[in-house]
Amino acid sequence: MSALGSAGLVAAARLLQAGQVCVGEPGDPTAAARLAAATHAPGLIVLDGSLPRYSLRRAQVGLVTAAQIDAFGNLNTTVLGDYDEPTARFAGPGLLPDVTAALPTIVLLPHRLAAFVERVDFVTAPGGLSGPLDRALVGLPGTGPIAVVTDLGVLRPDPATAELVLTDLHPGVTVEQVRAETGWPLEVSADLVETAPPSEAEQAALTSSAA
Amino acid sequence: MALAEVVDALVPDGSTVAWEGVPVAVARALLRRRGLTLVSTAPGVSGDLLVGAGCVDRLVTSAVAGPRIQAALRSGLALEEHTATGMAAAYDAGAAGLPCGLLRGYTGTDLAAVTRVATVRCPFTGEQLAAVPALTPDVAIVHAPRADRISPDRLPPLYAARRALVVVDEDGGEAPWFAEVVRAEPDEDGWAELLADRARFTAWLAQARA
Repeated sequence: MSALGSAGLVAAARLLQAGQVCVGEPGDPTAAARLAAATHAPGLIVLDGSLPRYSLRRAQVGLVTAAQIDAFGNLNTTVLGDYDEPTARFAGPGLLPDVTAALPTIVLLPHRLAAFVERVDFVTAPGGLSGPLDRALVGLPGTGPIAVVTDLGVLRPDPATAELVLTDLHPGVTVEQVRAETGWPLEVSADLVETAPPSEAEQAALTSSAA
Repeated sequence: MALAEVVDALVPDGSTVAWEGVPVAVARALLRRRGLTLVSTAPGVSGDLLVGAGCVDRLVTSAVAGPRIQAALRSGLALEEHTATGMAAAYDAGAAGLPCGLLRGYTGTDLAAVTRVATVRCPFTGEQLAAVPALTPDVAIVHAPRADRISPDRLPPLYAARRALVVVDEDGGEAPWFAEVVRAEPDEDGWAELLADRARFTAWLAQARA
């Protein structure tokens, strides 16, 4: 079973639309895209990362994961600690920086304090950098991550501050639980909603893909 | 000629080798090599093995995956890290005989400060672009199901290198005229299984190197 749980997978899948072209990393990101394609988003295309320079230009949304994420949605898949003397080494950039630079991106990541930090040790892939104007200043389009979907809920960037705020809670999860696993003073959206449980069609697709 | 002989003749000590999707049998034929520079978008199990066997001094890659690569980094393996599109642009430039490849990339990342990338201005539009140095390996080794079914991703490394080898699963079709083609051999002595068992493999490696 996915590290995100069924609530996380369906919350991510529901952000996708029929006919969209997605770049999806292996694991939960691709699983969420397949779930969308099997339910409400027929004709959704998931690219496999070949011919990256050409295919990225034709993609509309990215689905990614990371080792670390910060309050501005910047992602780290490089190191913990200093680059030359790291305390942990991850798998490196791959396509990630290009995806978050160019596309609206959905990040899928289990919600744990070790991963949700105030500032990433290394910016492998740009989110909102350090504030709401930063991306435009360096010439990057959009906001980077449009949603961060975890096993506890969904965070989205506040347009005024570019900081990630809690917008959705999965069933049975409390705000306190999410705050306890978040390394910055997490704001809660005034429009906080609860994730609807999996529909029959979603449940069927989850069950058949797990089999 | 058999795969091991072809590979052995193609890759002398100290070579820079582009390595894309290569089966482990190729790594096996190179275990006695020293001082290689391995250039690989994703080194995979075979690249991890080559590094683990101590054949590689320097790694140019966009995927720092594999337990042996991670261990080697802790003991001094030199690393040049690029994004997947940076690798593609550098191979393209090498294939076209250009000194550098251009792309939109590295913007807003900490990678730019720790790898070989520069910023240039487009003379027509004024846009700031990233430039990466061309990759021109001594040898490129890539995998394809058949000589006429080479993935488009893997053509630039072949064209960029001085010598090119396509390792295929089945005979038939024609590769680019300058490339050698050799068929991957089936793993008759269960080598892949040996690889999975670290203790058994370490013992086997010591024997193979003796």
